Amino acid sequence: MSKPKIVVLGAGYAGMMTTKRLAQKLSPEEAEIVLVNKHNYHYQTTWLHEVAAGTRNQNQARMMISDVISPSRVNLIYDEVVEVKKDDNRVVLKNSEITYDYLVISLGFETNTFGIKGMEKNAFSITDIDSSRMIREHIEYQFAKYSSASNPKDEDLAILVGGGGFTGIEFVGELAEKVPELCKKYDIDRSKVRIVNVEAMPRILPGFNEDLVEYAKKSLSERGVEFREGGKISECKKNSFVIGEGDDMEEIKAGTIVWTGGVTGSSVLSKSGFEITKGKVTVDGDLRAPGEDNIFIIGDCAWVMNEEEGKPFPPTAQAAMQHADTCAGNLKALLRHEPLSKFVFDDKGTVASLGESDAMGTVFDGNLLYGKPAVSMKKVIDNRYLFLLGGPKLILKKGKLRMI
Amino acid sequence: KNGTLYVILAALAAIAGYTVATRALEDTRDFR
Repeated sequence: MSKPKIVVLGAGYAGMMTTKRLAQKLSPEEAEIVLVNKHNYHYQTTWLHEVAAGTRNQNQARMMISDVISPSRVNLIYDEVVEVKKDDNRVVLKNSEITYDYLVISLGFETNTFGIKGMEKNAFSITDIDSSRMIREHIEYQFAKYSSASNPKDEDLAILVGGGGFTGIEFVGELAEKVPELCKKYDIDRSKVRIVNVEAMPRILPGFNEDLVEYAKKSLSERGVEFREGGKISECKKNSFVIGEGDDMEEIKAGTIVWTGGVTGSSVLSKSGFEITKGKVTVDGDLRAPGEDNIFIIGDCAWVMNEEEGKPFPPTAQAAMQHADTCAGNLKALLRHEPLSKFVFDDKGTVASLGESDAMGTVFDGNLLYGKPAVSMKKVIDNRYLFLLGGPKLILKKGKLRMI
Repeated sequence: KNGTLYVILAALAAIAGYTVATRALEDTRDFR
């Protein structure tokens, strides 16, 4: 009898950790493991804002998959997922097809512009290494163009960031540190460069503690970041945001526009016939797709309900890694005909960086952290993931070693 | 005591050397 084949789609946080755990939990005789990914590298999504701002080399934010997942244990396929044929236990890839006995869908997120006119066409988004690198190059090009133009326009230097959530705020934090460097490099007065963050909600960082939000705003404002809270973007033009409507309408011009205001699950989900709620699949407590015995959906593709509160657990990297533990454990249980366990989210807190030198957040049951202690904690969190994935060697190779 | 100190210093130097070298090599890899 041939051994069962487990196929993992996508090598993000959830897919990598699931594959890693499966390789640890299952002997080669028990199951064949296949990992499918578009690239031969895994990138740290939570570091992309640094790549986009130009404060971190893209190669520090990514790693070869084969460095941390043994190709002798896991069959690595570098191809793009097109569609899952659930009825045939088959996955259609761009260049081939594969069959599976058990499937893990961890294909991550895509940008959601909520239908804002012109946003998809005119704004950059921070979605992967390539898009982040493009933002970095575009920003620097604006500075180079300005310094060599005979009739330069200050508005070309402005950077508009749509969305005041976690990514948007971490991104403007990095920009607050990068812009002075670029000004020095291109002989430009810092006061000519606007960094504007626009958030539709009444305040930035919805869901964060109010004291933390005030701290973040103060820290970033002191470094030249402007905020437009309650600023509903009605249109994104080629070089501007239009905020509000009618008499209250305001247009902010900029040479660089980046949208960080929303994400949705991979479009492969809807193509494959899964029932979608707000862009993702609401999975069962054991992380399986509703009505599917052999398909797990995890990471940013899934809503996992917190039954006590009646709302989904937050879609964070921390949650994705915990999904992976439960998913791998449940796959092992399925193979050994044991009962499956329910996902329980263990919230260890959240820390947001505000550039290299500042941060804020909550850790362990809501303890508030600000400034240098938060900066150190953020790096501990980042390095912990690397340790779980590749041990001390990976921390030396990719980790954040300057701890304050 | 001096012997122990030298061993520790040598280990730290080896780790630092490995870190610098491995990070430099990452820029030469064929990411696709």
